[in-house]
Amino acid sequence: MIKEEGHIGLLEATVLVYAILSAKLFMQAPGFLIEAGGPAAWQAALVMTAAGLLLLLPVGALARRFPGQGLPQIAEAVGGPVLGSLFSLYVLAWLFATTANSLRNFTEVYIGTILPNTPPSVLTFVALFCMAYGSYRGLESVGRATQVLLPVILAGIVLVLVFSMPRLQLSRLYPFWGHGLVYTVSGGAYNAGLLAEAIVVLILAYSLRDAKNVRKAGMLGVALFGLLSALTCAVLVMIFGAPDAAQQPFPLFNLSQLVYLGRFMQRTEALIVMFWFFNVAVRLIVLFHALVVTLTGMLRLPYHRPVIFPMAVLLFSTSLLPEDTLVVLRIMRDWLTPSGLGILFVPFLLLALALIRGKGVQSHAA
Amino acid sequence: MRRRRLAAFLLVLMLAFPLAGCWDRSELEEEAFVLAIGVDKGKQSLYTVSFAIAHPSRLAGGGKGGGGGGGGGDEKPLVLTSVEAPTVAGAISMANSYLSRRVSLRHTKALFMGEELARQSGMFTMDEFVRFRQARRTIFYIVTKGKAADFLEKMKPTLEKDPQRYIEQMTYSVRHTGMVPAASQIQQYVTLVNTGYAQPITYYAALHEEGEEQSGKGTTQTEGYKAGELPRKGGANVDLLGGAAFRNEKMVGVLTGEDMRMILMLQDKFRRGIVSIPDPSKPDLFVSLEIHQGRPLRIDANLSGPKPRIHATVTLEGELLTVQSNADYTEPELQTKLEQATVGALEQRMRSLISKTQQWDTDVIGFGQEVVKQFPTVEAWERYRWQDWYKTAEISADVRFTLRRFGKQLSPPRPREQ
Repeated sequence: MIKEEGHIGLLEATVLVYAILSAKLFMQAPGFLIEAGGPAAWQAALVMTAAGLLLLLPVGALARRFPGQGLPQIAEAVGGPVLGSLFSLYVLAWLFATTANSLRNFTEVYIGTILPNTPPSVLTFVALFCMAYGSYRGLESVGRATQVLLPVILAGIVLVLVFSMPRLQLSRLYPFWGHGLVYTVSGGAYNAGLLAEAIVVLILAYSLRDAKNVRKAGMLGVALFGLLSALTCAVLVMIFGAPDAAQQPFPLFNLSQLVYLGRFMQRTEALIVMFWFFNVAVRLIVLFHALVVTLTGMLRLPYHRPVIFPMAVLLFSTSLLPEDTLVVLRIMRDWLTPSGLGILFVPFLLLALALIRGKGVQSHAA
Repeated sequence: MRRRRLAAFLLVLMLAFPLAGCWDRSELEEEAFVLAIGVDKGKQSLYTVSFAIAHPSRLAGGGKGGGGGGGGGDEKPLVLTSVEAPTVAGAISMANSYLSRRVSLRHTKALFMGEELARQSGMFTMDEFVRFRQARRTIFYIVTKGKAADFLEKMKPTLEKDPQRYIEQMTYSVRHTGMVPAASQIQQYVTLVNTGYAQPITYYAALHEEGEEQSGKGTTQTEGYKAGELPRKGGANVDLLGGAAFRNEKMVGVLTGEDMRMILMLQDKFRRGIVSIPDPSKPDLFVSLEIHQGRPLRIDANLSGPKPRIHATVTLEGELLTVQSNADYTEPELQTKLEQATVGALEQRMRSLISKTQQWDTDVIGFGQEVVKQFPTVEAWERYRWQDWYKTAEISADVRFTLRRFGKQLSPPRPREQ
């Protein structure tokens, strides 16, 4: 058990899950959904959310069976040292790849939009500093800071969508069924892998005072993200049209550049980009912390702080490996998203094993 | 305690680095802000790219003089330079080799494209504006009669000192005249070309040559002119009127102010405007009305027959502004007569517009945006190929008009003996 200082409540956990996911809206997640659903991308987003919520249902049951424990401990308790470690290793490897990719994606987004001349290593270093410092301070500090930042994080998306309303063209949401219902549903389900970071709620379950809140936090965070994704996709399609929106690596940035409400309300992206930075920072910090905590749990270390620096160095090197932006995008779309689906199955498999083997609190009670 | 102080010191030290500025800092004095770009067909290279660069001190007035004439006397607020290059980005690079400041598109408000080039291509350059970091999709896309470089050189705004503001202000006229497109930014153009639900229309501008005989058709209406053909004298030497119709990326025709107004009505984007029609009581005289939208546009599309059939119903309301014949249109019979005459005139103008766009084979009105709703999937819509059907489609428009108000006077003032 990790000696993590402090606890987080339902609201903080929900906000953390939402913030981890919502940072993807500034990046390529809307593009993936629009590619899958065409004009019906909002439907694909809803399918994605429904699939994600369904796959996350076992998280609550697991947390209740193993109160005060995180994913590595649960996996070991359920699967034993070999199978349990394999589960944890899969989650660890995926989290590592996702965090490294997100770190690089963050630098690519900022270089591609507002800081073209800044060396990627400088941006990576700044982000890593935030990640390491956040993890060092612990989840409670990060949770509270995120709760305070929530209005800003929400404003980063909601304001852009609201300011874009004069440009909406409803007819671009047609043909209503996009590329066909089968295509939309399969595309939406495939992109449920975009929600895999919600597994963090199980990794950090030990920090929540009440085990019942683990499921609630996961569900609420994913549902809020799903609704905003559907809305974002609909707005992007209504403004850019599906073929154009699917080809934009930073569609929400482009949308913020379009804000043109008379002579006095223009160039809002300067402000919006700052809001986005908070969101991306929270995402990276929490992913990093979850990664560190998973490794700490697997190694049965009592404290996570000694792992921070080596992990930061590893991430720094790995994030610089992809040759160009396209490689970063392809890794996300073709590797991390489908393998993220596998991550969402981990709680389900662990619960099934726990039930079969009679592990956890309920079996003792029985 | 000591460690904490050391940590705080290191943190402050680290903060000192970004305070000195970052890699992307840019000093205002080092940048040449391009307010408008002109693109024409080149002689030695693919394009002749013209940059209208802001001269900040002249734009600000410099403290000399006053009024509309500007502080700089005859000094122009813009510095104009043209360079031949295969791309706009290439032109920027070349311009940077002889301009002391770095060319920046961050404040570019308008892209002017010469008509000749617009009729030949268009999308090549548009990719640059969509892709290039500095450019914004909110840049106005304006086709100029003649060369864009000449337009930028000779354009002399009045009332507004800042040419950028002048252009922006001109585009607002859609709100009260309805004689320019509702929007003509690169964003709309690219999206329309990409989706294919409707074809793009852009602003069309022309220089007004003072003292030259205008080539207008001697119309007795106030709206049936193209830019550059208005029978006028004085004011700014620029007409921003009507629009340039495109089919995909190529320009196919010039729309008059009257055409634009009909298009806006058929796009459900018409706000208000003044129309003049022959007086039904005395056809050699005129009646002026201010009309505005009464109810939302209704479009019925029927694709079941051998040809697509589309019917638009436009509902308008109006106020009487001028009656030259002294007929009393407050009398119910005459009011109905005037309403019918207005309907007849508008329907005739709509028929003429629809026929024109069908001849050009371009759905600039955007009926496709209604037709697409009848298709369940993208694949079914693409198989139908709406663009191929547009030319032969049976399109009709029905105007409903109610005269709501009669101005500040009911019966017209007339001599006692009448």
